[in-house]
Amino acid sequence: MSSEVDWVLNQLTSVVDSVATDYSIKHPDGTTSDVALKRVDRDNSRIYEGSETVDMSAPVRSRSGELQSGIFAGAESADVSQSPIGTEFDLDVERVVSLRVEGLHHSEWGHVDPDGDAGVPWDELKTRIRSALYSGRTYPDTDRPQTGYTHLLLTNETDLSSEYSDFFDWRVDVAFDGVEDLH
Amino acid sequence: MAETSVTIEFNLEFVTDPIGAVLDIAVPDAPSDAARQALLDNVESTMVGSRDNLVSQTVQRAHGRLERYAQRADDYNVEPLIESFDGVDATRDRTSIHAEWSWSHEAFRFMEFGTSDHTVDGDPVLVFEFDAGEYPYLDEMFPDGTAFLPQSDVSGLPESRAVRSSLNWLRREVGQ
Repeated sequence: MSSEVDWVLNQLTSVVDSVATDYSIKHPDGTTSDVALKRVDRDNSRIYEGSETVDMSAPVRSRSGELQSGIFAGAESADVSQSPIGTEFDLDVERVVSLRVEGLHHSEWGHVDPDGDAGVPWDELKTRIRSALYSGRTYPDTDRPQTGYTHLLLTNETDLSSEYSDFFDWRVDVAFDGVEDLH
Repeated sequence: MAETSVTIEFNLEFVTDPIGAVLDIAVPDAPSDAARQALLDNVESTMVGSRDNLVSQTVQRAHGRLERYAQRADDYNVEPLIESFDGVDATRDRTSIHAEWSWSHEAFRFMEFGTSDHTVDGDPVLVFEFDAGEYPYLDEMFPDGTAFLPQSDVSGLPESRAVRSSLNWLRREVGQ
């Protein structure tokens, strides 16, 4: 896993905790449990902090069983761009991590509920994810040697949820911008 | 004379219906209207006016990425998608420049975001011509080259990210 993917998933820890604290789901037998946000490293299809594998490129419709266990936030490396700066051995660098968040409506026993009674409202989840990523906006520290990031930007936000009746699908690019020192 | 700093506001949005982009560049404050118009002239030329302007380079990048993607993904024919490019629509008012561009082909979104394996149902049957060399099992069933089937299973497409990558490039070019 790239350190940028790792950084994005790690940054979502606060959202994992806050949605579990603030929202719960109702099971068919009437019991309740916390809303779960599961983080997936899509570069190798693994659940973050676990050994369970998940293939998020599989069709969302065939994964409703999986989405009954939680909302999935999957990050993968998408683009790298480097261009030389001046005459020194420095490069302008940008790495893009694409984040895809998928959920299932509570009427299908998923973890999303627009009313917040039996799941987390989708827009509220997106807001929390955005602010979790932006709260580390200054100099994201990703342990990549010789690279210093100066800022990050969320771009190309797309919500494809309206194409489905019970599924939620939101995508956003996280662009890390900085300088790589080639000395 | 006091120094005045001029701010250029740049906003680039990815849109999906149809797939494309909306770009807004504004100069809200300037020391004089003449200075602002001179600056907007310059920006307009760089972004949309001049030969090889940044927006047309962005579109070329999206097309290039789509072509490379098509070669990897089973030589899919993306020419109709590229030809569905509707051009750049740019307008200018006293303080800003607005430009938008998009692709009208309805299959474009499937390549941008990818699709899952799915079944296409006929109404009541699907009728299509096929290449006998490529589909020998169809050739056996329909030796005259036209297939009649109640439904067909279609494999999914990977995500191309052609337009989103081109917009990330444009953002870098303008230094945002």
